[in-house]
Amino acid sequence: MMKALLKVENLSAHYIVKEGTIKAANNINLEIAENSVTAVVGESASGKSTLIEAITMSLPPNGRISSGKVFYKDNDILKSDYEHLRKIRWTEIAYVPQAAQQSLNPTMKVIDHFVDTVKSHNIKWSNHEIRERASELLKLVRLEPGTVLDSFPNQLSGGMKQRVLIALALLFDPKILILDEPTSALDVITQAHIVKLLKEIKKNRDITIIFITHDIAIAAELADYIVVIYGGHVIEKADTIKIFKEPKHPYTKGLINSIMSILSKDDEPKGIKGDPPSLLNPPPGCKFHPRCQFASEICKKEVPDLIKLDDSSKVACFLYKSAGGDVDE
Amino acid sequence: MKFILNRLIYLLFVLFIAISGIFFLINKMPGDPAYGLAVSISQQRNMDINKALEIAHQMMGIDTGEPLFIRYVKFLNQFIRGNIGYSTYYQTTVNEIVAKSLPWTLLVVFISILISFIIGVYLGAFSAQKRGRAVDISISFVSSIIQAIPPFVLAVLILFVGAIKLRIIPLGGAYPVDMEPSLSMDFIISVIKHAIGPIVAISIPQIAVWTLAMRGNTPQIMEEDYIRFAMIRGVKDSTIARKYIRNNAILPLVASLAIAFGYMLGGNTLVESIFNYPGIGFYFGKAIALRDYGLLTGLFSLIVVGVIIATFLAEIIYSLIDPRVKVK
Ligand SMILES: Nc1ncnc2c1ncn2[C@@H]1O[C@H](COP(=O)(O)OP(=O)(O)O)[C@@H](O)[C@H]1O
Ligand code: SF4
Ligand SMILES: [Mg+2]
Repeated sequence: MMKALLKVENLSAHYIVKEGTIKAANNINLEIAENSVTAVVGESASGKSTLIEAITMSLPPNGRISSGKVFYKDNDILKSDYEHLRKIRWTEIAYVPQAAQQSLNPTMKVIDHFVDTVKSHNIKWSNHEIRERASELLKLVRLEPGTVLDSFPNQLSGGMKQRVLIALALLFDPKILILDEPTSALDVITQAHIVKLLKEIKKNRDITIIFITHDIAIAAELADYIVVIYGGHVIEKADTIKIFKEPKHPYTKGLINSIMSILSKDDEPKGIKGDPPSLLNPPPGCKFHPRCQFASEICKKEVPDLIKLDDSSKVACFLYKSAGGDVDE
Repeated sequence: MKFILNRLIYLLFVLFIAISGIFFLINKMPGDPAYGLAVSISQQRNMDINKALEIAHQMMGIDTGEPLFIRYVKFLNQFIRGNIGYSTYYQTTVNEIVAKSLPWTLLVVFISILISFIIGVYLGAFSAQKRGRAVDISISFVSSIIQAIPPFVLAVLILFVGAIKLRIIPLGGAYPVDMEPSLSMDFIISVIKHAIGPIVAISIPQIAVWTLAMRGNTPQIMEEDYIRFAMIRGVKDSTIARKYIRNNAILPLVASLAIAFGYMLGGNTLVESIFNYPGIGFYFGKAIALRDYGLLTGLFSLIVVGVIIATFLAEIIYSLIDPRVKVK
């Protein structure tokens, strides 16, 4: 693995609600290599967005980070003051959140979103230069700059808005591009378009991409690494090829099997039985144990650590022993 | 376009109903429409009241034998042609009274709304930004009290302090009687001096109203995705406050602005009367006091038409600035 650009250590975050706390990200450990593409997968409400929001310090008002560190270029982002954070946002780390349909200001033209972003970062581009740059980026995402730049958001379709956001995210050539479900809520053709676009961006730029998806096929197509989230825990992380050939965690196995069976048009898809865990009152031990056919006594009591295996993939399951016997790294 | 056309047809329908309603309401009011005039005739001429009534009826062109429905058709017919009635007291058409009084009302209403809207929006946005802190709590507390003060109470206060105690504003009128209306500086200054009392009396509660409305709108806007996305892009707080929060929170208020304008056309009767300010409201007050039914019907219709048209405009404005309305 190349040098880690982003390193997440023991990160936990929760939401405060009337009924108690929703433990949506628990003791997360992750390393993101420079210029790699990582897909974060998992069923909905498993804590994918929460993880990204915690990393980028953009949790909603009732979200709290309870512990952990996030190192970007050896600085702990979580400890930085607001002004420092504001400065690295977008110039170094660009994050396009989920539900991007309402992410543009309805009272502002598209071009003004570019202008505001440039001015806020004290970059000395003239309005003309900003327009040039914006046009170049819009062309990259296959939008017609002449019409789109002077449109208001409501004049654009969902797919166009999503592409505007991606163009906006590339404004300062960020080191890290984070996309939360960039293709969901779009029609199939637009989806394919965005996947293709991301492939081009990946090929042509020095950029580290992290994207969330619940479409494992898209993950397979784009990602170098796949991180699987279940019940607010990272339960597996491995090379894309390895994870498809040889999934380790029983949940990942179920996930891969279920799409393989769709692909092979098997008569009965082998979906995973049972319901996803409640994050308000999560089960003790391994969050997957109520649905796991291999569950043993220890699984019901203790949370398995994420351990590194001989083939350098990582898994959090008691069925595996770590390489050389040491836990994690 | 279709949306506007639909609203337009609806508007005409509402106008018709409203004007008819006013006609029947006023003509069914207890008392004889000519009674006021008759009383003054009988006093002036030292005449028997019944005799005076007869004369008054003749003067007003009221044929007491004429059925109400025929009078209604005549009224509508005249109204559509733009003749909104005849004032028995001033012995002139209501149109003429409107022509000389409406500009003063528009002046006062326009300036009051402008001032109170701008100040209110700023105060409300500021207050919302400091939500929960001492400034916010004081602003909203003071605003909720001030918005409940009737403008006429302020008018009495301002007149007493400004005109009687300090003698810095005139006692009444729109400009000094000995002055010829012109575009000279002197005239303009004296117009402003005369208008300032009504403007202040109307604006103070209005500022509080806009402040509270703006403050109430803002938190909802702050939860919108585009605010969050602007923060994620590292957009400066001051820019977010101005272009993202304030501009969006103003949207619903722009519609209320048109409605407020309509209501204020006739809503300042007491203020104009107290300041003896010769606007629509002043004559409206006179019409009630003098039982000048023609003037009353005409002005009342005009005010209602104003409110209805303003509401219509508000809807159109709202659909233009907020495309989501059109979709519905
Ligand atoms: N603002 C919030 N307040 C309370 N609970 C939340 C909030 N946002 C998300 N959650 C809950 O946290 C869990 C994880 O959500 P999320 O990270 O959005 O999942 P995913 O992105 O995988 O769909 C879910 O149970 C969700 O209901
Ligand atoms: S830890 Fe136990 S329950 Fe969890 S996935 Fe592994 S075997 Fe199943
Ligand atoms: Mg999500």
